[in-house]
Order: sequence, then C-alpha cells, then structure tokens
Amino acid sequence: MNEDFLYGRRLLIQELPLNYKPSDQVGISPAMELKKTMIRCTRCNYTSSISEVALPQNQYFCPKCIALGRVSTLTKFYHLPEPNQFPTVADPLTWQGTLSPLQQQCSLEVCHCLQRHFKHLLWAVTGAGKTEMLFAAISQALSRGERLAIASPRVDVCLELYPRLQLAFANIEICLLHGRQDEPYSYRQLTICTTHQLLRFYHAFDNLIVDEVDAFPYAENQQLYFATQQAIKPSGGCLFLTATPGPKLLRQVKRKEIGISYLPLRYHGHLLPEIKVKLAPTWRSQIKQKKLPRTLVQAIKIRLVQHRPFLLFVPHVADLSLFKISLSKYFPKQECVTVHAADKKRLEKVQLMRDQKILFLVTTSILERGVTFPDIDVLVLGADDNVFSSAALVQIAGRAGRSLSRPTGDVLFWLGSYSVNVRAAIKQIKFVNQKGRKLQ
Amino acid sequence: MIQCLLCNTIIDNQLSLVQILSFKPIVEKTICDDCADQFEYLKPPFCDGCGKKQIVEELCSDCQMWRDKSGYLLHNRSLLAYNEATKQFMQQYKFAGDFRLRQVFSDELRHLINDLHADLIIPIPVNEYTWKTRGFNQVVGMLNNINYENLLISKNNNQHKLQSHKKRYERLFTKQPFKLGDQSLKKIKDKKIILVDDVYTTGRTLYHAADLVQSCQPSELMSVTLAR
Repeated sequence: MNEDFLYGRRLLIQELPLNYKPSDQVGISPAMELKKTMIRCTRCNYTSSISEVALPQNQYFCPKCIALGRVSTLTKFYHLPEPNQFPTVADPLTWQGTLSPLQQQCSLEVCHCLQRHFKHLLWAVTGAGKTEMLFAAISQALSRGERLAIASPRVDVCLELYPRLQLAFANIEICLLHGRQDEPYSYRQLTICTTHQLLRFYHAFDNLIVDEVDAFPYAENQQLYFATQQAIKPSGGCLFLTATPGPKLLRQVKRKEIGISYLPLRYHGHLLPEIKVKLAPTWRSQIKQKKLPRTLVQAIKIRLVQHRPFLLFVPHVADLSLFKISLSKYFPKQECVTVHAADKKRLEKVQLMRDQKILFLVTTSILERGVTFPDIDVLVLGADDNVFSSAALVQIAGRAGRSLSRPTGDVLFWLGSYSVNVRAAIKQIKFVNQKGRKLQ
Repeated sequence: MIQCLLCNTIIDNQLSLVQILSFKPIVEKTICDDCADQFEYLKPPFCDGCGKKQIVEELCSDCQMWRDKSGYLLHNRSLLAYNEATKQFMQQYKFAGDFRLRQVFSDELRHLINDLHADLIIPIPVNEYTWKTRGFNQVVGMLNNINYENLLISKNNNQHKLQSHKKRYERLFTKQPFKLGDQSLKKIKDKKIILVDDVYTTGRTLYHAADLVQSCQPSELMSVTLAR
C-alpha cells in the first residue's frame, strides 16, 4: 500500500485511513510523555499538570492542540522518514517578471541561505515585494530535489499565496493545507500551509519559509515555535519573513543565532512614511460625550475637502459606533462606513473602499495587514491602546504610500499618552528609513 | 488567571461586593459570561414527557407515540435547549474529547437531579469502542458528587456507527444496545429511578434503557439529560 501520507509526518491512529495496516518500516511512538506530576504532549510540547488533564483509568490528554485531533495516552504516533521522492525538474520557475536591483540583491542572499540551509531573517518593509524575491530561491531548491514549505499564521495569506505560487511554478503541484478545507492531504514537493498545520509534520522539510512571523497567533506562541522546529529536518534551514520583527527574533539576530538581511526600501524605492504623533489625553471621555479631539476633526475636514481617501483605526469594536455618532455631530451629511472582524459585509465594504466609492473607512486592527489601497492616509485614534502591538502599529503605518503614483502618505496617531508600543513603532520605522536612506 | 474553557479568553475573576459579604461559597467560573449567555436554559411550560420547551404544557406528538408504543411514559427533564451553543459544546466535549468540559454544567446538573429526590441514579453507558477511543463516559464525567450505579451495560455488538451520526429514522430503528447488570432486579424493584444521558434527541436510547429498567418494576422512573 502507498504510505506517502506518512512521509515526514507524525499522525495519530484516528488520522490514518480506514482499514490501514502499517508496514514494518512505520515508526510508532508514544503520543505523550509522563513525568511525575506533569505530562508533555510530543506534538505541541505543551506540558500540563496531570490533575488537570486526567481521563478515567489513568489516561491523559493534551488540551492545547485538541483542535487538530486529540493527543492522548490512548493513541500513538505513526511516522515514516522523509524520502524526498520527487521527479526532478531542471528549471521549474515559469514566472517572467523582473526584480528591482535592490530586490535582486536580496533575492541572491535568500538563494544563498536556502542553499546552505541557514536560519535567516529577511526584514523587508511593508510593500517591498517579498514573495517575488523568494521565487529564484524556491526554484533552485526545487531543482535540487528538496522538500519545501511556506507557512503563515494567517489563512488569508496562505489563500493569497497559493494562486500566485501556482502561477509562478506552473509545472509543480502544490499542496495547500489549512484548518477550513475539505480536500485531503497529498504528498507534494511544495506545501503552503498555516503554521498550525506544521504540528502534523516531523522532520519533513529541507527548507521552511515562515511568512509574517510577527502576526497572531504565531508571535509568542511556544507551541507553534516548537512545531516549526519539528517540521524542519535536523539539517534543514528556515527563513523568517517579516516587516516588523519582534524583540525575540532580534535578540536571536544579536546573538548571531540567525542571519539577517534588510530590504528597507519599498518596491518603488521610497522610504516608509514616518509616524506623526498628536496628543489627545481626553479623547476617551470626549468620545463618550459625542465629541472628537479638535485636531482630529481638522485632519478629517482637510481630507474631506481635498478628496483624499484615508483609513481611520480605532482600538475596539465598541469604539466604532461611538466614533460614528461623534463624527455625525461635526459632519452631519457625511456617510461613515465602519468595518470589524465579525462584520458580515466586511469584504463588500473593503471592496467599496478599494473601488474608491467611499472616501474613508473606519476600522479596527483587522485591516492592519494584507490590504492595499492605492493613495491613502492613515489616522489612528487611541494608538496607545494595548490592542495595538508595536508590530501592528508599524503594519498600520505601512498601509500608507504604497503606490508609485503617490509614494508618500500621512500617518497620524492620536494618543492618550505615550506608550511603549508607540515609541517602539516610531523607532522601528526610523531605523529602517535610516538604512533605506543609505541605499537611495 | 483562568481561561474560558470554550473560547480561551481570560476570565476576570474579581469578586463582587455581594460575594465578599455573603456567606455562600465562591463558585469559580469555568466559562466566560459571553459564552454562558449563549446557552438557553429550559423553563416551564414544557412537554410532560420529554421536557421539550412548548407554548402550553401538554404532551408533544413524539411522546404520544412513545406512550402508545411502550405502554408507559418516561418523564424527562433537561437543563438546556439543544441550540447551536449546546451543539458546539457537545462537539467539543464528546467528539473532540475535551474532558475538562465536564465541569461546566456538572453543578447545575447535580441540582436538577437532587431536586427530583431519587433512590437510584443510573447513567447511560458507552460501548467498548468509545471507551478505547474517547477514554471516558461523557455522562458519568458530568456526575460530580452524585452517587450512581452502573446497572446498565453496553452490549458489545461491534457497532462503530455512533447514534449521533445516524439519520432520524435510522436512530428510531436501533436495536436494544444495553443489558442489565447483576442484581438489578433487587436494586431497582420499588425504587425511584433516574436515568441520566447527555442529549435527548429522538428518545430512542433512553426508551431502550427505560424498557430494561421498567421490567424490574421500579416505583417511579424518570430521566435527566443535559440537553433536549
């Protein structure tokens, strides 16, 4: 029987096909490791206290990764080592585009890293054209017969990457894996998956590329870090991509545990717009009294008069309606469209903005990454709120000035008070711009 | 820091003034208020037979069928209505196998059972296949601080298809899956018996169990389920 679904993977009994009898080569390992008072899940490495996760009759389960099928002492893991059984294609890249000189240089560095199986961080600013820079490296790795995966914490990023890569590598079959799909798993040389799906792999990939490492839920998630390590072969390499590396990654860079390359300029060669800060210490109480900070009203008025589109971010979903009411006091005739994560018309509203049918959109942090509107300004009310991490703020600022026709845009933050996250975001943008200026 | 067992948000466990000043024991929350609001508790008027929520207190058509078929009526009481939240809850508890969820409704279920003042409580058993894969009986798991006796035993007829995976007509034609344990006749005779199950859907499972108990002539027979 064909057992390729076990190559480089560790599956539970209940994940195997019905009536499947494992051959002698299949390695069977216990699913959990029992210590005195703790029990460790070998899939996600989470250690729970045994009193919390006990089943009757001295059995235990792992509550942390239960969404992928329960790991318990009642079941075992089945595994086959990765044999790299792929037909070799000499030059699989069918993409015809060209890279800017800067992109070209980064692309060469990435090629080098994947070839030598380095652990590496590619810090490219928002809107730098990261995906295109990977093509050459992926192509070389594929022709070397390596197994590759591109993982991202976000499903929508995976869904967006899949058609782009399928187009760039037209003769290579790609496997797309995420939690919301019905298609079965297939053994392919190139896999695109969410970071959660990596939990099912074990020593599978010669090179693993993790996109948007700073995004939820990957950032600060010990289970997913562990999954990443487990999914790579012991001799394999790993490339992290991000526009906003967190302190943990940067510490690793400082200790020289991982290499780093920068791409501080956008694809059109301009710097990131820098954040301008306005203090509005009483905006919370103002918005409750249906008022807005005067400077914010002015900023909105100018943009309405000059017909300049903008995005306005507020911290919480509850603030959306408050803002809408307040705004109608100042601009009674102005239509105000708000959008949040659970909004049923979310996609339609974003499309309205994209088609320039509306001048502005009021939103929460759901639009922080992955969306491109051509010539917009970005306004953030209450940027010091805890929901905005410094990575989120840099991403939000990165929505501005993405097009060649208007490479600059205003980024204005209204704060109740200076917070650590705002400072860090400002510092990070200044830092990459400093690097960028040297290259301009 | 306590996380909600259903949605993983952090539960704010600040004590209210009433809690501090009252002499009642403090009940630790297992799920957050947002999740708790999704569940619908059943209140009268409901069907006298199955405990389903109804506009007037009368026998629903299903229960009339059961009365004609079995010759008696099982008086069932349930805690929750079987809505989307309950469905999700059962999915996570039974099928995903998150045994921690047994605590969520165990207190309320205990109050419901204790109010009925029974002599003997019998949980519906699970079959051997379920024991091997799930590793727990979802009904017994919820019976916290309640004395019960496993007088019903699942006949191992190698039935891998779960009752909840069947269509309605398939469920209604399921054969008797249980048998009685030792000394059942002595223990059941002239006692008030309560059968406990997780969900009352068609009533087939509970009526199978009730048929066996009824044959031992209890003084009264009722049933309690988490959801209806």
